[in-house]
Amino acid sequence: MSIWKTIQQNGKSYFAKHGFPTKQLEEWKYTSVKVLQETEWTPAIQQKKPAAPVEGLLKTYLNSAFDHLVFINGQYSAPLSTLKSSDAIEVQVFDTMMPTALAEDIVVNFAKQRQKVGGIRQDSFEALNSSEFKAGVLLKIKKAKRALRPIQILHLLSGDKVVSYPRLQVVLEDQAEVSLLETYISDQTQTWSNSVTEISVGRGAHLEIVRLQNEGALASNIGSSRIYLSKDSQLYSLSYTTGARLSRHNLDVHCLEENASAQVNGVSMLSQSQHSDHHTWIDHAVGHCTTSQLYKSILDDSSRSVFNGRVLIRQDAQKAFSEQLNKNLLLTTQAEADSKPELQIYADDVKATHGSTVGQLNPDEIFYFLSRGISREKALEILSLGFVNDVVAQVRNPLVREFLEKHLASTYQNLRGTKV
Amino acid sequence: MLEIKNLKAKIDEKEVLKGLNLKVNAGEVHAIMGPNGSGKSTLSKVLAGHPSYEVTEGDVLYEINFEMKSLLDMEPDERAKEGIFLAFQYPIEVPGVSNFNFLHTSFNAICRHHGTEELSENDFREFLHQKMKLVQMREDFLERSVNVGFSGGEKKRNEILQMAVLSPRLALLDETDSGLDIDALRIVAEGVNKLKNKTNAVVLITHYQRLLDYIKPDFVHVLADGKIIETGDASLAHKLEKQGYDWLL
Repeated sequence: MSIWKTIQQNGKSYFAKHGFPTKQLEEWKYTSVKVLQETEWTPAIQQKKPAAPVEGLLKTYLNSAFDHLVFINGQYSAPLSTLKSSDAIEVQVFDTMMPTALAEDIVVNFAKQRQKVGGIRQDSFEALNSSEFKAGVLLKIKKAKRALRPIQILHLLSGDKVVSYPRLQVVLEDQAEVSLLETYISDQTQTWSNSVTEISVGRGAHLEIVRLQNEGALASNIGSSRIYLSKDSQLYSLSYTTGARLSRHNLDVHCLEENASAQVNGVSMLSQSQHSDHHTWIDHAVGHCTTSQLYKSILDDSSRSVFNGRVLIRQDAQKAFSEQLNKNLLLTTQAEADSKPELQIYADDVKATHGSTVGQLNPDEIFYFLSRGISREKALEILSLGFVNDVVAQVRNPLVREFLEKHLASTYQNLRGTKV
Repeated sequence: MLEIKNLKAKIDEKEVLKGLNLKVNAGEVHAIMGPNGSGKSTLSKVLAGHPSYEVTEGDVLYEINFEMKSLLDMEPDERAKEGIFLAFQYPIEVPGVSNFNFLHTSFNAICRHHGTEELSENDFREFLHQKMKLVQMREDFLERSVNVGFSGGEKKRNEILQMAVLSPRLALLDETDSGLDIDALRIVAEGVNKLKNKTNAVVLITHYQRLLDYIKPDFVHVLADGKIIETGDASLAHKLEKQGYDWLL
């Protein structure tokens, strides 16, 4: 029997019962997934070959400073992948039909972590992934070891109405350290990526994880990430969203032992009719943990961003410290930002703050730039990028940070450059 | 190089400049003084092209390539590229944009316009280093966001640094002396004096005679109710300091 069977069966029965979420649900009131429900999807893995050449698209991402695992239409590409197991890491591209010792180890680890959480988010898309995934990546960073180079798990989709179910399971053993980049890209075909990422961060371990989503204009990207933090561990997370017509990222962080800290950030830059939804769930299960959230978006044309930041401070989580800030910059009057903090606090000795802003570029700042000979176009670019600079600047790995800064600037230039 | 003819301008339906005339030649320093609300700051903003002000009558001619051309239909950035520089009374804070990036972008935009060579980050840093000595600014100011967390004096020095970097032909200093202690005032004034030469001109807008002890004006004008009502040499400033504006009004 496959070790994944329980997960698959639970997923199947949950999805059979609940199906696609509708806007009647509080969790989904701003985001319609009708397009996903009404399209006839084919598993991407059946397509294998991309619909069009993808070398050009890949070039930007296969940065020589990173180690990569590359998947094209859900199919592992050995020639493009450079990540290998070493004395610091153990990596496996797994098939649910082929049990391995590492898979068993990791599945057991996650079952234990899940049990520690009293009440976990239940979500149809996560269930659907659990029901449908056939393969994925297992990654273990060994005790007190550090992955020297950033690791990128890249998923590229290209095909007509294809769906893929990426699955990533990562364990950082105690005092391990890694900078991870989960990248989702696609060409201009209609695609749907429905991913699940689950990470266990051991005691005193440091995880940096960037979820980069820059899929094409017809793509939908739904992602569920769940991260468990042990004592003295540190998480630095960035959800970076510039692509897809429809995207949703659920990010759950469970502080399960004392002195864990999490910096949970997001940057979105959207245009046209893009819709991006970030739902975070920060769980202080025990006391003395520190979490911060900073989500910013730049919205052009009639794009829309949603931020729902849920912070749960459970009864025993005394001395919890939690802050949350969501800031949105609207470049047009048609763009829209919805921001909803959701603080559920059951302990009495805690500090929790939240705030959100929606605004436009300051005309005085623009005039200041103009008066120094900088064109209006360039002024808007510098000021817009300046609005989110501080978030990208918090990326700890300098190679990843530099890569993202360039990516963001060129994304902006591509977006605005095509406009008259 | 600059000729203002019967200039009338309004903001929010309120007429502020009511027929102003002024001529500035290369190599000259002009001081414009006047009571509060007389239109001093409006004049500088209209010349720089601030979008909140509407010119309703008159013209502003400015020499570009040996020809007098109207400034009024030029965008603010085009005016800046042609050498007009406004040192702001209240320099704008720009979070998220480093002072270095701002200066570098500005410098290269102006180079590009004149067909001179743009500077790489490293070359510009070296060039900037010299200019920073002029206004006694520390290196770490470059990495900070533009004017964010700067003291009043630091903001004004930053304006003069920008001026030093861009070497404008016509510098308009709007109340650059206000809010400065005597040391900062001296630094700012020395900066301006070093930048002054035969080919450029400076228009100082000021409330007090104090700045004029450090920067010697060739002409002093009194602006009241949107018009220049008196013009003299440096001694006029002293007279105003002693007697106020009442004798003129």
